[in-house]
Amino acid sequence: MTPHNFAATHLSEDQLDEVLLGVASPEASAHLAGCDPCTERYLSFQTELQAQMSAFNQASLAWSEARSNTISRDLRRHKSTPRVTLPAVWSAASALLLAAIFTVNAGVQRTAGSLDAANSATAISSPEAVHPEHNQFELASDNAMLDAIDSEMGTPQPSQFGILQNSNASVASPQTDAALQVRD
Amino acid sequence: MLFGENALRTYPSSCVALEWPVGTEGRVISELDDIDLLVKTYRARLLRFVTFSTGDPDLAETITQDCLLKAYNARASFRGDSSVNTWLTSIAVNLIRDHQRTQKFKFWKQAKATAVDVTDVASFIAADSSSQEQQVIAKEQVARLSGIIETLSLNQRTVFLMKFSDEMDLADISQAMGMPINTVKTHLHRALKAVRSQLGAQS
Repeated sequence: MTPHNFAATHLSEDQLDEVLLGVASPEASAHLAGCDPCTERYLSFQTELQAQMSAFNQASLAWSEARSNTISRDLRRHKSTPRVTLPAVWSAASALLLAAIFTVNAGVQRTAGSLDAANSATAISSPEAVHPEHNQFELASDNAMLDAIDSEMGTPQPSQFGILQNSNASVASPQTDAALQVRD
Repeated sequence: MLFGENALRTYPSSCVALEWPVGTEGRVISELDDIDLLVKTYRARLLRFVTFSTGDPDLAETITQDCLLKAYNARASFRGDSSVNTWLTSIAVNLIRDHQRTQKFKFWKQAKATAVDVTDVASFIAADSSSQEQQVIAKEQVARLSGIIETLSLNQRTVFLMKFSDEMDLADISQAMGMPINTVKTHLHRALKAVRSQLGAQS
């Protein structure tokens, strides 16, 4: 539409809308500035829409501010709580499985090791197996000690009643001594 | 391509906000890094936009929450070539479209079941700076415009709210909607025509 056409006719609704949207052509803007009927039409709708939108924007924003508090809480909770994803679950399960396998394996090895150690200890505690000459020496020493004890025990001891007993009396108890005394 | 450079900034609705042209703004990045600040700054505006775009306040809460979380999680992909507000709005638009596509008729059925309580919204008109009569008039205006917005198509309603509620310019609306500016103008013309005719009929 040429400037001449603008002068002859008035702006259409679409052209008025373009003025309202801020994308009007220079020709349309120039026509609007010089045309009272178009200015009146434009201002009528623009004022009405502005009043409606002002009330709507004010009320709806206050409404959404009041309503969106719950969203804030949910978002904070979501932020503080890490999201458990499927790969994370699989990773954790794999780690647990590996840990269990290692634990069982280590337990089996420990048990086998204990048995070996026990066998080794048994073998070590068997004197014949390790030091036979030392064993013979110990046996001779033990026999000598036992002989010394026997000889010591075989020496006649005065009883508490002053009666000499036979050789068997050395191992008798005081009660036995008393019984012998009564029999005598 | 009609969109030219802007094509880089649009997202397929199934892939929300993952590519942005290079160009950084430290302030914007730090704003996205703090989710508390992000929520505090944009939550209410987003919730209003999604509520009146979908007509379902419960669904709007879910979409708004998803939108903020997606933006926070994808903040590394945001290059700061546009405002955070436009970026968030584009994510919200895609979430609305995704939901509408998956729900089909259920979407509108649900929206009807849990529609916005206009009386409740109108009750939030500030009572401190206006007389009783002005408050009554303002509540009537809120109710009337809410009813008119509800009659618009989804695209008309969305671009109308972006332009006249969020006061975004046409380039930002085009970017957020992922459509050419001329298409945005067409939706706005139709929306204004419907609003004009209904305001005239009711007044």
